[in-house]
Amino acid sequence: MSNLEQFIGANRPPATIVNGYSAGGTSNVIISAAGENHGKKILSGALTATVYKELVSVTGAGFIDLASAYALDATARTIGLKVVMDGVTAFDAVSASLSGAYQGIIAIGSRAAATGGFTNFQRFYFNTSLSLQVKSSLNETDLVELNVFYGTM
Amino acid sequence: MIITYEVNTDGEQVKVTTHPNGSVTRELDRHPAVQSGISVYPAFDFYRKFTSSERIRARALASVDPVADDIMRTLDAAIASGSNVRSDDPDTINGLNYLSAYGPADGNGPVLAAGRVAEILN
Repeated sequence: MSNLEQFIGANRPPATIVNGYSAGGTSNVIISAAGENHGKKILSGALTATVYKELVSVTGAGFIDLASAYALDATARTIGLKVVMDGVTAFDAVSASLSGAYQGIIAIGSRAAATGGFTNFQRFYFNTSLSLQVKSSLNETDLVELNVFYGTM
Repeated sequence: MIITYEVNTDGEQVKVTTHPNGSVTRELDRHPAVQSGISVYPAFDFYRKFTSSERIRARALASVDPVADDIMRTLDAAIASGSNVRSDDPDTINGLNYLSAYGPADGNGPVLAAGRVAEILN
């Protein structure tokens, strides 16, 4: 670590994000049908089974407060979510098999309750780049959604 | 802030925003028409919204009409450069309206029949 990094280290992106989903095999209701949080919702477009697809990329410095991915119908599937900051994969996990709409996985932030609860933001900074990628166990189009809150600096 | 659009490998629209601080964000943009009332097509996809007969008759008109020739050359350039065509672009609207008013001297009227401008734009 250089002398300068000692002082700016607080803004270094995480190399690893550990939460209740990061080991894979877990899932939860991420938003309700009303979608009561302030994240931006981005549909996946066409997904090829088990292949990650980048839905958001940033070149430059910024921050991210929330990143989750969830299904929009009750078809059985798993969903994967990957977060790459400054070229380092901080989160890469696949959910348990989902069985309902709005079930999914959270990489950044947390959610207090299944319905009517509120979303907690969890800020991380990146210095050069951000990439948010999702995948499904199925070939499908626009039935997986990314929920994200980020900004540039 | 400058907003442009790209097409990804799945043929889907990606919104590219260049911010004043130099940062560039790219977001998959699945429903531009719903969000803004504006349709955006890759130029080749837009070209293929014309029927084969319409394309052939537009080329015939362009061979003798400098305005039609400019319309088709502009579209050709957009295709060659991989650009998008926006339904709210004045060149797009004026070009389609021109082709709905004029046709080649084959006795079949304008290149685009009534109602086709709206169909192609949407």
